[in-house]
Amino acid sequence: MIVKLVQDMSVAETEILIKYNEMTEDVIRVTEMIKSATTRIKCTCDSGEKLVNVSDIYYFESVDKMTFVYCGKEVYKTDIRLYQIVNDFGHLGFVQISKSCVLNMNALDSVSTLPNSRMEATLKNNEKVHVSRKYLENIKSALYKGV
Amino acid sequence: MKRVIINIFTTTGLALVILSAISIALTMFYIPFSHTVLQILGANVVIHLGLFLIRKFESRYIFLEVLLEIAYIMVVLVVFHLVFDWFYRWLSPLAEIGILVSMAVIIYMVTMFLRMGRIREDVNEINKLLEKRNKKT
Repeated sequence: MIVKLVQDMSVAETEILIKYNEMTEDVIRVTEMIKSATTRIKCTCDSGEKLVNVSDIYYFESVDKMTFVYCGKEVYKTDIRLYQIVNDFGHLGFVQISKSCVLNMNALDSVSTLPNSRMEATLKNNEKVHVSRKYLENIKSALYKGV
Repeated sequence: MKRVIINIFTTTGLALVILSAISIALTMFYIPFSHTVLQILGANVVIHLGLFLIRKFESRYIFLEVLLEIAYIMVVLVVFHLVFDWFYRWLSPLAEIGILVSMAVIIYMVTMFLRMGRIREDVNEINKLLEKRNKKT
């Protein structure tokens, strides 16, 4: 894949053009990654409200009817419910991996089994999250789709 | 659903093998084959459908899940035994329950072992896909 950056002072808004001869998994993935880099959600933190890039989010977790947003190092809160996250951001690589967690597949490094037949996902920042066996199939099908 | 059907027939087969082994070992009772096969198949259908529903609920403690599943299996087996009188009262009630409990535990452990094997295969497949994806990037 060749990546070219062309500066054009006459354009008002950044335009991304992807040239391809066949719609492959890689093309789909790159397209979704670009979309996720420009999609933001409103979150709250100690310092107030913030717009967080979806591509920076590692996972969402629902605890006590609140949805927490976990980025590499920061944690925020959002009003969006888990089912909305799956509906709105599923095409950007967000997959439900347990009853209370939706993971960004781009942040997933590996999956391992635990001695008590549980599973955990290791993320790129070495954080570990629980994977429910009921949702293991979601991860597999997302990877086959090229997410 | 396909997996549930396969599991039903697997555990039915397993139950029949164990029951045959027990009857040969004890050389005390005779099992009329055709009725028993259907009754054991029926018990397995009820067990697997029940487990399918029970497994929709997940607990933080795997021990509780295992206990609940084994308890459910035993209840179904005891009910079927009472309805169909599986041991024809040739053994003491305690021995009958003991055999049912042992069968339930053995079959449960075999299926747990098979399930863990399947999970491990799925996890290996996922890790291979992740490796392939990471190599591309």
